Amino acid sequence: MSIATHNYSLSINNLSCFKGRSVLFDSLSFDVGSGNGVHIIGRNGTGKTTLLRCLAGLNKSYTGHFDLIDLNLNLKIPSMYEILYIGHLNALNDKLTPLENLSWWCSLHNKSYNKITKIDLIEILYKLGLKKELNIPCYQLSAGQKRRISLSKLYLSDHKIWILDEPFTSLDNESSKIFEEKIIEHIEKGNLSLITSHQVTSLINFKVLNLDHYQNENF
Amino acid sequence: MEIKENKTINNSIFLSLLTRDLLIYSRNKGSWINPLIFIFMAITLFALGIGPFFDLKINHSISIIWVICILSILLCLGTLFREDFNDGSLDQILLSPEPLYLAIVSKIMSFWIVSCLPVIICSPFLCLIMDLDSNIIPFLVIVLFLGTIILSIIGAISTSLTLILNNGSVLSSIISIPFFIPVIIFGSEFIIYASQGWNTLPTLMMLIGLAIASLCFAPFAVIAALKSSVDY
Repeated sequence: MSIATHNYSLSINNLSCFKGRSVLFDSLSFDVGSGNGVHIIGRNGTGKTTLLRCLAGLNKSYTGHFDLIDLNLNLKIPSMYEILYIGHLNALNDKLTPLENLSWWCSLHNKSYNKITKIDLIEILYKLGLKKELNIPCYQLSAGQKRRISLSKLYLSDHKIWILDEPFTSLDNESSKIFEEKIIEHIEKGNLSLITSHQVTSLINFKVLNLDHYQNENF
Repeated sequence: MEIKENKTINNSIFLSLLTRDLLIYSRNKGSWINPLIFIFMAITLFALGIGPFFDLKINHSISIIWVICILSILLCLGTLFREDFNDGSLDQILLSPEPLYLAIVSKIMSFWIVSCLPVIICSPFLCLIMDLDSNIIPFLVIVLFLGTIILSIIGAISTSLTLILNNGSVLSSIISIPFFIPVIIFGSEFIIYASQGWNTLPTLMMLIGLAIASLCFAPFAVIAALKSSVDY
């Protein structure tokens, strides 16, 4: 369509991850292009979180490699600028209010932060049903509310790749639906999203990556 | 509802982390009151133990002040990265495309402002308790100012190294105390020279040099240690 829509792909080559001396998964190879979603499944302890942390650049105990390649320019993209990682932990400080937590996060991660104002943040939190909770410290909030605030980063992010680790835990059905729609919208814009989830989701068009198939029994 | 603020969000990692951390510390009053109370109680214990019958030499009192400052910094250092590590904010800081060096310096600076600055401001009272001459006070303030900066920066390395251990505060102290030796040597020497009216410039230069060197190089060690601690 336009020049701005770049095609890119994430290719994982022969990736093996370790935890201590044991191998979590072995020689994982996987290619996924932009405009796709990947649903990573597997039993507990197969290394779903570790894989996501590897791709996000937090975990370094792996062999093999993965690259984010711009297909139009045939260039590697430094992944740090393009990846949004939301893990198990919400990254919310208990003593700060949701608004303060989010604006701090924006200043770290949002490249178009100059355009985002406090009012934008308030609007997003209103949309997610957090009207009363704007100005109370996070330790007074429930697990689900904290999760919603953490996932509201999806509305603030301009990253190409979303890496979400169990995004729907402790969310009610209504709000998980809102976030599922947001994820699908992100993919339809031609971006990429990798999620793990044990919940039954409506993310039907997702490619499934089953880590159970990459277990090596010899170790 | 306060929707007055139509400001855009602060875009420098240094300032945004600094204001956030100071906000957190300001909601947790203990973080700056406790070190102050600790130092005054410990110094008072020393004063009571020494008793009124013998004169305290200046080299004794200054080393007591240094040791207690070091202990209070070591006690507080555990909180430097702990909360961020536990709630996942540290992941987000490390993933940020902004320069990490500035992030680390800002974390150490907010720590210093909260747990060392009040002590420096109250240090004239320490002089009173330890029966130091009042013309020493400006020198003590200068030396505590430089010394606590060095101590916080070096302490940050050991505390980030022991972050994955849930209770690593003793180990962290054992790692960092050997590196505090230059600070305590030059810090005490500076006060003793000043009390004798000797030239204090060389020791002052040495302390400034140590402060600049640790500020330049230590944050890189902290970054490496933090990166290895989120590697799980």
